[in-house]
Amino acid sequence: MNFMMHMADGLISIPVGVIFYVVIGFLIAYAIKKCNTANLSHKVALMGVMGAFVFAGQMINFTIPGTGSSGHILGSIMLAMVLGQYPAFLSIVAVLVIQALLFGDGGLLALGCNIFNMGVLPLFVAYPLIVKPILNKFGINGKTLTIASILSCIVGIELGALSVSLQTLASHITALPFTTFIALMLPIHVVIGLVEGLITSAVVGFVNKYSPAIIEDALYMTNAVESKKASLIIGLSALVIAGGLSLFASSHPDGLEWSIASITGSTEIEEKNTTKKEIAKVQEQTSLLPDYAFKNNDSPLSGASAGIIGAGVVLVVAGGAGYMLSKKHRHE
Amino acid sequence: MNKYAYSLFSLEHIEELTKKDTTIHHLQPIVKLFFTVFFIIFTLTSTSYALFSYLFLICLVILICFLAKIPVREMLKRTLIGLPFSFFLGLSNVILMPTPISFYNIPLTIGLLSMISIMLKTFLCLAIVFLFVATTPLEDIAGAFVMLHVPYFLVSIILVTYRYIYLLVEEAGKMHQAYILRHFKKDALEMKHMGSFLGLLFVRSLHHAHLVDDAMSLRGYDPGHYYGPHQSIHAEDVFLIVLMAGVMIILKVVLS
Repeated sequence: MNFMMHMADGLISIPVGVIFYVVIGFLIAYAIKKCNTANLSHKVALMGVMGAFVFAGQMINFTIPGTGSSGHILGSIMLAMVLGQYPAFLSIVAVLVIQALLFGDGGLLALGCNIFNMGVLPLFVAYPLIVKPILNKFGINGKTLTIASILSCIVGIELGALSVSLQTLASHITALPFTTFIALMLPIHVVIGLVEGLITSAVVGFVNKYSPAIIEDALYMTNAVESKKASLIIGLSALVIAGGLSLFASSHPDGLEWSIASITGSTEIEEKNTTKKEIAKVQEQTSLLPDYAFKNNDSPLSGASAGIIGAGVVLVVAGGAGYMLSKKHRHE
Repeated sequence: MNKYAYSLFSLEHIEELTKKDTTIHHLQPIVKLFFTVFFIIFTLTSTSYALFSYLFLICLVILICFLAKIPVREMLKRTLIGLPFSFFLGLSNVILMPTPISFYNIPLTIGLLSMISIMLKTFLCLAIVFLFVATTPLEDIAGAFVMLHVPYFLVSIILVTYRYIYLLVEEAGKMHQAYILRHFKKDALEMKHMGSFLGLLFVRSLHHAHLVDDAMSLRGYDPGHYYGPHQSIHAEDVFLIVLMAGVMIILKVVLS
């Protein structure tokens, strides 16, 4: 589980890297503004030490029952639940900058993508759209913390994995079709998200027993400076960026395709293997969004819509599951 | 050496490397930062078959290692960590793109060429970032960020995080050691113990954080002021940056 989503510079193109630097630049400025509003700007040490806590926490390996392998936490949602959304985001940014510079985890150009995948999506999409509504509506207790942790970790990590796939495909690094890449990435990350959610719920449960005020302060601080409208705008922006990437990917063939075109004279490679042809045929017939687009539709907007739908489906499925579980919990 | 001690040793070792007295170490951090960015752009814009570009970049990395007195072996050790994911991603291209080609009279496939290119790019980008960090203390990098108008607040958080990594990794190491001593034949925690283990580490970290916060407040800490090293950029630094960009562009045209 240590291979989690740190993208390296060699895996993204320059335009994709720059786009995500711009996006996270705005979000960092927004988070700093929110920290100032909540009068947290003097809490540099708190955010710095908590960043170091995540760093130390990521070094602790635990055994995954029944698999013989081990993993470690990522910590974004956990930090948001004990520190608040915006301080947690700034701490995660600091951790990722240090990891990129000093440990070679991810690259300098890919830093924007990594902050987006591991900081923005869990903290600006999963946390405000899953954790906050559950805790605000049903109160803070063991069950709600567990449900909120598990769902938000799964959604955050799945969106991150989806975003990694889109960023890699938009950079034209791999020849894997969109659907195959997604099929390889998403299932394993459901398991990673589930384990992360279980650990997160255990940690916040422990903290809640030790001092319930910590979780309450984090939640109400976020409530005080955050509006539903802002959460919704940022959540939707994340989906639009996913779609924007697809639009970009479909209109500018470069990197791998350019190399192929230079050698073979075409960006497509003629497939001679009949078994592969048959598999490709089956895939073409069964895939809903083949190669980033709707069937029989080559327009760039079709690609963008496919990206948005891909990101949206993950959010709706996991959000729906959260709603059902919350409803069941309410009836109980 | 356990991994906590190893991690701290790695950080300390990088700090030691930054203290060397070479021409590369004495360059303005912002000049080195720009050079690193130019190098990454040059690398990523090289196509799969641009053999001479890659050879030039590899030679440049080795030259910087010699000039900065950084052992090449050390650089290789640090950069290999990022290659597995690139390898597996590249492997998919080997499988999916079996079309044979002749590359400087060497029989290859497009997929294999693409995989080699992806891995070389990843290696080169990691190598140059390592060389940047190994020749520039983090405080000076933070100063360069401030010159680029990265908010003081964020730069300060990065510096505090970096300083406290030592303390908290050591703390986590001690807790882990105590756990292992009580649980024979186990080198990783059981999942059921992670909650209390990490929870306790969090509580201890929070305690440290509040003490530091209080201490900073008592000493009149002002969040609007940056306390790290301030640097100024001179005309020769700007000239060096422009010169580097020009040379890179000319080489790009010649080598492509």
